[in-house]
Amino acid sequence: MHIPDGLLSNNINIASAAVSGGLFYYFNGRLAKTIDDAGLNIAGALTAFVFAAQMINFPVGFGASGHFLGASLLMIALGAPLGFISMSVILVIQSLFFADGGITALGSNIFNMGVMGGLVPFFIFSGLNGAVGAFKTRAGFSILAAACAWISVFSASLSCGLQLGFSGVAGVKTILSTIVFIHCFIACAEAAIVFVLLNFLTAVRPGLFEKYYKSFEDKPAETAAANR
Amino acid sequence: MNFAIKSSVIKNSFYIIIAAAFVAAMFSPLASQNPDGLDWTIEKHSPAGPENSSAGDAEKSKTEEGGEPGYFIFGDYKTPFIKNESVSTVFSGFAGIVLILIFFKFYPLAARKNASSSRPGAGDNLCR
Repeated sequence: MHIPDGLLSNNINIASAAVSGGLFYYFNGRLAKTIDDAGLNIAGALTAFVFAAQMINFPVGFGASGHFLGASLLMIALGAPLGFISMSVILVIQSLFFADGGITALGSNIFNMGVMGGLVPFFIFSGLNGAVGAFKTRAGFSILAAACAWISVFSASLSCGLQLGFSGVAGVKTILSTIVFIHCFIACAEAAIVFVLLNFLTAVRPGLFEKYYKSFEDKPAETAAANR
Repeated sequence: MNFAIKSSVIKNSFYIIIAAAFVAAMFSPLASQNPDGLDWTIEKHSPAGPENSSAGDAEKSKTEEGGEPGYFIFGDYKTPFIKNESVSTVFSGFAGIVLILIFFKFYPLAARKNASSSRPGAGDNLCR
């Protein structure tokens, strides 16, 4: 879903870059206050993994392929500030060194994959994770994360389609229906990958996710919610 | 929300995830050659067909002859000095992983510098 140069209108690129840049500045500032070397190590490793996993395109039928997005995984594992920085770093490196995603469209790509594909599903995830008891078990946690991974690809393709439509690539309705249709299938794969990865990670390294369910297992729901 | 993670957990997980990243990069030559969701969409709606779609042109200008040769070191996930396609792709993946790790190695220095020069709310963070 990496938009190349020359596809979107300048206005859309500038507006998206302003939103993405502003969020990067904000999260960077928040992170600077609570920076923690151990957390950054794991962030680096996970970011590198998501980057590598994004290289593997899998066929989804209709002559199209898709690849892992990983934004929801990064946000859930690292939290919104570090997750957003990590996703932005991947997109910047892909754009500058790998010609994957245009430099002028970088702001739009960060908006689509970092904000719509990352922050939006993450806030849905944290809201439901804190509010619904069933999501506080390990299985419930993984299912909720997988659902948010599906939403992640869906909402990213939605905003990508709107940007393409309003840039005049094709009619808004036409392009939206096509891009969202194909990404619904890619989203299923994303959800499956996130489900398997989180099941594995929570089994071998439960401490990584203790922020979500150590508190759920040790304390009743009301206490966990009050501690947030 | 508290996002602090125990350091013993980090140490072990770090190497496992890094290893997984390198393994994923090694599988990258097996990636499907079909256009991805976005390219597929654009090809469908490009009146002149896939060959002349604007996305195709934009990709070509960056990675193929006559575009901007050498401007993107690993353009199209290929390493310039390696002829074997698969090895070239895998190596570019390794390079990307290293670039990301380098960023996260130096990020704390930059972030701390930024924090110490402008930290109006330092009172809520006395333990660090």
